[in-house]
Amino acid sequence: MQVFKLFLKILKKRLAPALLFTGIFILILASISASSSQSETYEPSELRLAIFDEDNTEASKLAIKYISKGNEIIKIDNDDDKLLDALYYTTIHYSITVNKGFEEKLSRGETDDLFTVKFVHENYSNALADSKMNEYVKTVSAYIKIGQDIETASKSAADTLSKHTKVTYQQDTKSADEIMAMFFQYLPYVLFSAIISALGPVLIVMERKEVKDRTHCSSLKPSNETLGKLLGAAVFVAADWAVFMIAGTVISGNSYAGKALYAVANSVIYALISAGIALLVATLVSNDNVLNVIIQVFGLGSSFLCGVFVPQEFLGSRVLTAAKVLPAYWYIKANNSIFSMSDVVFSKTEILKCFCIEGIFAVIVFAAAFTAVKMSRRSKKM
Amino acid sequence: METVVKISGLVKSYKELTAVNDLDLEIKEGEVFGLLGPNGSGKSTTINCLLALLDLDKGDIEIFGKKMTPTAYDIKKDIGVIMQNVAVFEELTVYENIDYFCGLYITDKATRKQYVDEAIKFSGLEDFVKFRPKKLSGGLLRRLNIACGIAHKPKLIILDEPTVAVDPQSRNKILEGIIELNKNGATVIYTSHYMEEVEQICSRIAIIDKGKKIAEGTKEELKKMVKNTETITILACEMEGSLLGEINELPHVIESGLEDKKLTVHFSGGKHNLLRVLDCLQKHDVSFGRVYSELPTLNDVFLELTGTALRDQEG
Repeated sequence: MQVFKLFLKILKKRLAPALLFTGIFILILASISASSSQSETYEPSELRLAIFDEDNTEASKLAIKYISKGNEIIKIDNDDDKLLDALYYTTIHYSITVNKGFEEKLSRGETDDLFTVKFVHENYSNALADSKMNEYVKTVSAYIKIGQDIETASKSAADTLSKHTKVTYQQDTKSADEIMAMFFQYLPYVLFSAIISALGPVLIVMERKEVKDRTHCSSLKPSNETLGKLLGAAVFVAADWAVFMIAGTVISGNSYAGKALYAVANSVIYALISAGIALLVATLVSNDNVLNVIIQVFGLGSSFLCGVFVPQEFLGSRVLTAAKVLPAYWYIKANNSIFSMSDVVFSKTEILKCFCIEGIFAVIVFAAAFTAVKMSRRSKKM
Repeated sequence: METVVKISGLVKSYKELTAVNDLDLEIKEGEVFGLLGPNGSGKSTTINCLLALLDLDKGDIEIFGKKMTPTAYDIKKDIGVIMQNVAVFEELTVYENIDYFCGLYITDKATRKQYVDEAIKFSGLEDFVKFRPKKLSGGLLRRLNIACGIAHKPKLIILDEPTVAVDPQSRNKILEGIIELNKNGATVIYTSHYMEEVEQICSRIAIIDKGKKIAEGTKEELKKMVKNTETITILACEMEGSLLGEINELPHVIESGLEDKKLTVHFSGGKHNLLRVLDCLQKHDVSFGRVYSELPTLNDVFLELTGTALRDQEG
């Protein structure tokens, strides 16, 4: 227990890199997921308008009635200074004056100089008001062209334009399954990096010659020491893996059921392989900097070669042949099989084959790590 | 007194280099046993063999009357080790470090807490319990190293050059601590290449060189091994070289030398040697500066036994 407690204490001090890998990955994935599932609904904005009717006809009144609809009309004197003040202090967004001769011009189908507008800056509010006036005028003009009189045309236009359409923005949305597939696709890189960057330094510290000698001079049996370390490593790997799994289900909004359980099992085997590699590397390396180089070279290298970052179908056949000696290749192959098959034609054979190969990798890595530990102990005694 | 450690015919080689060559040692209960020798003489290798950290090429090691092996946990539980290099965890505080290493021997929590507190008090680290090793000075770090090695109250304490690179004040504190541990009943094995330290604290000393034991005994016994019983040094001595002949004729003089106005005269026994030398100089109206009279040191012993001074071999 003493070694196990020590392991956790040192781990606590060396957890930052692992937290960073875990946190950044979850954050990136969460933001991708959030943006892909986002939908927006159009809501019209209400403008504050000052409207003056210089034509004072039935048509101008109907036009003002239409423009006013959905906007707030502010009562204000038709005085240039007062209007400018109101626009400056944004008491109103826009001033519209229905020009004299509005009805007459519109009856003839003319659409120019029907309104005079005032505003301070060109912005979306003005554009919205402009668009509303243009829309109205064009619609009335259209109805007039088909033979309606100005009054009927104005009513018809107001009636037509008052019909609302609910607009929903649908962006490139991903299904929960796709998000989960993406999550498990990138998982080997972060899982490997998080495990090695946390376990590696802890094991290196515990393997330091001075403290190792002191420990070996004590009455602690080496088997108990190894057991304490393995238990500590297992607790961390399980906890880190669990954090990823919880994050995966939260981000995708899907629980692990059906074929997703195979992806979970796939990640368990890969976590074991990563832990074994951490054990092996820590035995062979006694320096944090070298460990970081290994994390980068092996982590990134195998991720690029094996199809973590670039899908396997885009990789050349030679690259894929070379990648077969790396566990990440079989992880991705299994992952691709899991998420590419529909629930109806789901076949376990290919997936289980990949699991077996990954399992063999795990056994080899752990065997190599234990052999390295034994050889290191023996060489120190020579 | 019971024999605590018995080393018989120990041989340990690293490829062609024989680090320890047919070494025999017997250390009795209650002793502070000094292993004195220059760097590379085989002291640390002997200690590592003693602790079963290294495989022996030949020989036997018995501790507490039992054969020492890597799996002799019943022996190991009564041994405390303070190695030359500080062996603590940077990630733990002073308290946590002592508690961890003590916990490798003492499983009972309450007992361990008491032992750890006593070790902290003994090493004078009360004000630094929450400090991490990086924040400690060199001397305090050495004291922490010692506290980690002795917290479980071992019967045999092995200290391998614990004062290397330590300031004089901390060194004295450490040496006083070792004497106190011995007074409390622990047998101590102390290796060093500082002869003054060994002379100061050790009740029995073995001098080793090139892996071989060249002498063993109390410091008095060792000093008796040398012909030279007194060395007189006179600085700023304005005498002619021709006067050396007359000085050499003085009773008990082994040899004398004059170099850069420094006169050195070695004696073998006799009383009032200094007075006779000064009389001789006065008779010839020779002016001189400071005068020293030194009794033989372990360095003289080493010099006489190996032909080189202990200090000449350092570094």
